[in-house]
Amino acid sequence: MPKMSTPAIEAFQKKQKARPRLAAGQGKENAESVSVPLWVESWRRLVRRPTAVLGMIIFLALVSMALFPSLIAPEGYDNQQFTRLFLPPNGQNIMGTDNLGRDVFSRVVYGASYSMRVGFFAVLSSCLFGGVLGSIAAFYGSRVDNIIMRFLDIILSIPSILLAIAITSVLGASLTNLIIAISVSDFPHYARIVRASILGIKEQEFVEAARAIGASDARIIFRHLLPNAMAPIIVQATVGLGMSILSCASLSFIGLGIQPPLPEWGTMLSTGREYIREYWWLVVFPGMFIMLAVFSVNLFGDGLRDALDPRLKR
Amino acid sequence: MTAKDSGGTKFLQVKNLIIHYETDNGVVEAVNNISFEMNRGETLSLVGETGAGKTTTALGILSLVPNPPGKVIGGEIILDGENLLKKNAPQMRKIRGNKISMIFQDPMTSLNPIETVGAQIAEVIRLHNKVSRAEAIQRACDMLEKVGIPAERYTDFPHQFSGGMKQRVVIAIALACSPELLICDEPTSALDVTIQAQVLDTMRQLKDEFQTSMLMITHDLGVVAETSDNVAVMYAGEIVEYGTLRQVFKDTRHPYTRALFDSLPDIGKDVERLAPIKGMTPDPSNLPACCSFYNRCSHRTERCAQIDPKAYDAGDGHLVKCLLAGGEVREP
Repeated sequence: MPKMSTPAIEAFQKKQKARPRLAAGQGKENAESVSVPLWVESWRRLVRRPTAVLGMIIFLALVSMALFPSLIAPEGYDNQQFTRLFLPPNGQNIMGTDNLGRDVFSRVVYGASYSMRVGFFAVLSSCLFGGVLGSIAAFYGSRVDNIIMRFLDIILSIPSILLAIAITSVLGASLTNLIIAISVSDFPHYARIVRASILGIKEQEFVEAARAIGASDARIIFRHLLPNAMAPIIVQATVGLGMSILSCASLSFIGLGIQPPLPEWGTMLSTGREYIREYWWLVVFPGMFIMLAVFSVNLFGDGLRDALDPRLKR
Repeated sequence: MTAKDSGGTKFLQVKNLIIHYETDNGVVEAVNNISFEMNRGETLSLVGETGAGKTTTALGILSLVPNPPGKVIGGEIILDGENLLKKNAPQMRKIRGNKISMIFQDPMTSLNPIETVGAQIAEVIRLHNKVSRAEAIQRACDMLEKVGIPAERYTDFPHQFSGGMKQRVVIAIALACSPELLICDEPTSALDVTIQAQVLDTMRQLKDEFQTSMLMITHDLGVVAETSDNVAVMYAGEIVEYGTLRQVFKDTRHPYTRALFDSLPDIGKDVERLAPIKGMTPDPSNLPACCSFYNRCSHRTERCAQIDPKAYDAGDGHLVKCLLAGGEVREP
């Protein structure tokens, strides 16, 4: 994505307006005659793909559930009514009610915020850690590279779900610890991807040109290398988001994540498990939402990868 | 002005510079003991074949030789009385882009593809001057106009420019901080001939305007003739002939330089084939102990195979690294 400092552009546009010889219409015409910025172009390519748009719509629906659950859910997530235990889906409770008489739909809606929060922050922190480590490894090479990458290899050689279980059982089960556990087992993937793409980018002449104008190492990494490696990072982030949501549900299912009565989807599955023979709606709906979340993120990520790849330009 | 006179301190002095690349397959002797000098506002051309060590010399001046494997073994690079090889990394960063700038060979790849050209010019201005963002933008716009690009294109990306325009942007970046020395690494090789002429013209104008000294690296003798005051011909990491443009072009002494001129097509003559220089440049990881041009030289004698000639003064500071010029052997 082009990194444009908005104040700079505004200042420039102000100045442009001040120029007498540049009529307002002329500038606009000029802007249209040259091609559009990269991110506009990518957006256009993205919305041309029906699957990507479908994924995006489902995902946005889930995000709005997570942001404004009280507007969407008909009841609170802990509204227990013992007069309506185990009601099957009906007009009043479209996904039925559970063993304590709570509305399953409301609980599913409130549950979105846990999955989204864990997914988002886990991806964000692993992007940051992985990105910085990967770019340092690639930029300095030789020994630094070797030390960092072997360290990451060690983390990667531990099954990620086991690592996450170990971390949450040591730190205790809470939302923050869940995010930490998932990030730690995930960030080496980001580091590898960032390292690979920066290894290619750093050989290009504009990096040497940046050195020749006196830019420091940090400036070259953050201003010139990382922005150029953004496309693969974004794609990995979307795939990673799905994985993180899944990990969050799995850890909660085995009791190491969000604790009942909070309505995390995995937690709901875990409590509904006992009643699965008689009352299928207790597990089917939370399970379906886990699937929907991961599926929509993957569809969106696929579309994004294609949209950001300039070789697929038409 | 000859390479020798004008006394006093020179603006740039490179003395006995030696740069090696230490690879797994042995030591590549890229630059062997070269020396040259420049006055303020002068242009010196480094001419030579691919692999003669021209670019390594330029990177050496900027302390940008990739390390590892590259290593400056010895010598001095004195700019304005200060030895650049003794500077530490932060000091060098202040010099790069500010006192010394470099224009790279390929404008297609020497601009960051995802930043606007204006932002890239403003970047170097803000790196070396304490100016506000708005002022940097203002100055970047001025630089764009100076190299012949309308300032409205400040917010355009490199892929929206043609090759010649990109090279103009690169020139604008290089000159944005009014450097005292501009190193041009084959600035026109990637451009077609008409654009070459335009770009060279722009460079010459700006060089005069900013009073910049220029180190021009090229293998194009036409470009040399158009731009230079002095010429240094490099072969296998050594300067084999060094003098003013007139001395080197009109009073060519070294057999290699002569062969270079002979291999040029002549518009006045009708020839079937051009006269190439036979053979290859010696392997820089395995240079001969004798004259490095010995294998390809049409004037070689037995004596040439025995010693590595020093640089002889053929008159008025015209240095020629050949026994012929030293009078030790006669032309056959």
